[in-house]
Amino acid sequence: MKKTKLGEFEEFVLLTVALLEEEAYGVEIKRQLEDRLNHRLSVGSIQSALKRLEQKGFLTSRLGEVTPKRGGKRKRIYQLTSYAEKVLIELRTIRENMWNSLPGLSIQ
Amino acid sequence: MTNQEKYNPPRWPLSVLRWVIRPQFMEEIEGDMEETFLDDVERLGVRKARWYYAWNVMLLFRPALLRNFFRLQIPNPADMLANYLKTGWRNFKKYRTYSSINIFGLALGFTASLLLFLIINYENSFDRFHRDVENIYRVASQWSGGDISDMIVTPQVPLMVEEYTDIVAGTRFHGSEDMIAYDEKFVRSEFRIVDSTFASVFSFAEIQGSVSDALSSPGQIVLTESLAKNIFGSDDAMGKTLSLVNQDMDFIVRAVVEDPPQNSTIQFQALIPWSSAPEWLDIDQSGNWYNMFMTGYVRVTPGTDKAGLENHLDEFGQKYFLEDRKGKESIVLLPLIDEHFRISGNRRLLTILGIIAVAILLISCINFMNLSISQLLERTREIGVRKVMGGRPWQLISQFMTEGLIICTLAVIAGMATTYLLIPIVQQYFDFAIDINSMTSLSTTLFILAVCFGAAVMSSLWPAFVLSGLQSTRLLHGRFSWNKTGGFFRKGLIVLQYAASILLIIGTLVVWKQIQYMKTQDLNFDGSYVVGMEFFTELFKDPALAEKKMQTMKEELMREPAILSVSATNSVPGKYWHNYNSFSTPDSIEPREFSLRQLTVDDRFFETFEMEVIEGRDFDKDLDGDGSVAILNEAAVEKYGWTDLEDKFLRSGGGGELTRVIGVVKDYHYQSLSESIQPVIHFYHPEAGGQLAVRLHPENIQEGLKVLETKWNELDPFESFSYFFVDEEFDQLYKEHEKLGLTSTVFCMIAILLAGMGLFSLSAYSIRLRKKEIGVRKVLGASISSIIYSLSRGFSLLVVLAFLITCPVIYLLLNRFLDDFAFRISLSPWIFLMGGVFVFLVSIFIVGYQSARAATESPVYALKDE
Repeated sequence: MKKTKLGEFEEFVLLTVALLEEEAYGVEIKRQLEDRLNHRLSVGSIQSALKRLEQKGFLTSRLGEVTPKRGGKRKRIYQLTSYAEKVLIELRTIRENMWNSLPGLSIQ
Repeated sequence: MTNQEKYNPPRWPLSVLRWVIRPQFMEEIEGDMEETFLDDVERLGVRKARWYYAWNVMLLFRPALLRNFFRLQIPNPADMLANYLKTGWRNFKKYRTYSSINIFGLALGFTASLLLFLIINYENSFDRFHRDVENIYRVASQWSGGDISDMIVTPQVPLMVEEYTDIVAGTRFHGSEDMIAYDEKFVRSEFRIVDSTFASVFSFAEIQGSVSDALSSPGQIVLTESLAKNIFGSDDAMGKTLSLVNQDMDFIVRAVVEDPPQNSTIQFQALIPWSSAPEWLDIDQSGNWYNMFMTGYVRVTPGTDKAGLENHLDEFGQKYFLEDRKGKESIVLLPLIDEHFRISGNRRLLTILGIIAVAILLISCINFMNLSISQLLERTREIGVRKVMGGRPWQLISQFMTEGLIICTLAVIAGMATTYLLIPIVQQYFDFAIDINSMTSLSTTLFILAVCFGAAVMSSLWPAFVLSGLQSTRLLHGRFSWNKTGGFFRKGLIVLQYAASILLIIGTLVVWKQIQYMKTQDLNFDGSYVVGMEFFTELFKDPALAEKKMQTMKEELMREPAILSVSATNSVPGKYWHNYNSFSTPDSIEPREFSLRQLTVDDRFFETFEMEVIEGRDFDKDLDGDGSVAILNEAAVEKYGWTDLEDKFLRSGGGGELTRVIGVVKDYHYQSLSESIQPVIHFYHPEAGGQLAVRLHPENIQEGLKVLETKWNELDPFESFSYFFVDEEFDQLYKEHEKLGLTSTVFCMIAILLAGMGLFSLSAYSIRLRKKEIGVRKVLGASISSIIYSLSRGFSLLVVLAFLITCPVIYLLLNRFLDDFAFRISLSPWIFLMGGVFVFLVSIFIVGYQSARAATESPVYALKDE
């Protein structure tokens, strides 16, 4: 595997985007991650991760519909690129292989 | 949904957000933020949600989200710089004359101001080498009249150290001269008697031994390096025994220190401990509270409030001082860092030099600025092209700045080299001390950098702003008249420049006139043909024999045909040293007491100096014996308010005997005319000592000097005969003023040269702009003189304007300068007119010359192009 420059937080964000499918826009990603990580996040941290990921080619985005709660502003819906999917699966395989060869440390 | 109308995100965080976030992310992020905010409102309430919103805006400050404030597509800076350098060099070559004038002028101005800066720097460096120098003070006392007496009584300093915990250490410092004898060798030396704590007050660098150990017990001496070398050559001085001839004491060398640096007010060649002080000095150690002839220094704990300590010291005075000093004198502490200025009195001189430096720097910077602006205005097409190609204002500014910086750097390097070469000349001819090492000191470096960058920024910022703000089409067209943009500004600069040169010229004229005035005033005594020489027994190898011979010598000299009159005195005019005492009338009720300067003279003093005794009589050897008569000057008589001399007596402070006043001498100038004539009392003593004043026969001067030399050698002196003429010595008092005059003359010439150069190139430029106009005028039949007039008028008016606005400033400044002199000239309008007319003529000459050249040129050349 080549170096993918994917940070831990970025990986979480990618997974969240995959999870949310059509609902994958900033605030929803933030809510999801906050629930799962059990930790408050700022809009800035999510947004900068999204922009970075988009720039690195892990995400594509399109503008979504307007909701009144957003003061008339459109959402931006994110979607995983196939490259991202490949990288995520690759990461997972590597991890599983490693976990499997570590019998003593398996999850109880 | 009503929420939305009710609760809006807080306003200013929102505008911050809108300002900093990249426009393409704006909609999304603003929406996200608002959605989060409304969630928070439900969850936490409005107040908290608002705070939370603001906090989240802060967290948006991430590189990935921020608007790129410098997002321009910047070409490789190195390439751009190379381009700037290339165009800069081409322009430099194209306008060779201007560029050379520019660099030369700037280098000249820079050299002048750097030299002045170094001089000022040196004067400010005095005594700074002592550790914690700001805590060192000289002990003095101040009369309620305001006069400061910097001498102290013997027991004062040790007692002060003992009684005040704030005073950490103190030392007395009493100077004397003596011959040091070692192995048949006699060396004259200035030695100082100091307390053992000397080294805890001052920090002179030790080479061998320890100063405080050496001074801790009697019979030991500290030598300076040069004196040790002088006595012992290359031998080690430590542990050797030498003797002070007249003190008749032996000392062992226990320490050698570096020579006190030139910028130290405390100078010595040898130090001996107070415990070895001659008996007369320490006599009555605890009780000598009346005789003030030594200096004292103290070191206080850091952070001590000086004024507070002085208040406490007043109690000290009340407790210990003699009755007649109590309440009249208060103890004051003079900071050591100000001591040099206090003694030399040249703080005013430094201020003037500072003004000159700033004026010259200003003139040359303005030159530079004006010339750069002219040059840049010639290059409007280049600037236009640059702007069309996408050059940003800051890029234009940085281009001009680069060019300015290059020229400044060249000028600064040239100036530094010149300064380096000039320093020895300045030291020799102007008698200014400069430490050549200070060329590389931090403050000098900062000064150089400040000047370099300052000039570059000044010269490039203004044109850059003007030009970058203009429409590119206008620039490309080249139809751009500088008369409309910034003509006013540049004319203002010329006026400023001329104002500075006029100030320097008139100032210089006034300084010389004042010196001339002081030198030509009637001093009320005649010092020409009067020779002064040191004359006291310690100068001779056998003091006892010399004393015997000296008694008859005066009479022998009087018999010589080449000598008209001989007087022994402790002071001659022009070499007056301050010696005060207070004298009171013997009235039992309300005695009047004043501080008088005192002299002790013999019966031929007034005769030798041709001073006029206007009331009473001169001293007479037969009538006065050896006692208690005195002659006052007019100022003293006036002070006591006497109208006649009948039964007038004075008693000196400290309970001296009564002295009868027998005469009044016309006020004569015993010191420079910058000082007023203070009350003086002359005591009579047939063998007054210290100096011998001899009036020679005007036609027999050489012979008279030869006689004096023979007589001198008969007394078996340590050193060969030396003398001075009193009038010449008196003129030496104006040395400082002449130094100022000479300096300001030189720098004034530089200033005029610079201003002239500026005017020259600027008028050449503006005439070139009007070339066509001149051609058309000539074709239409204008006369040469009318063209010259129309070209020069504008510049001449500027000079006149500069003159008019500077006059009041000059008047005020010079009046303040002259107020320092007790005898001063008044500022006549003629001086102003002279300075003004001179500058006017110079500028007319410069502008007129160029106008004439332009006016006589055939109009064909002016009109042919285009």
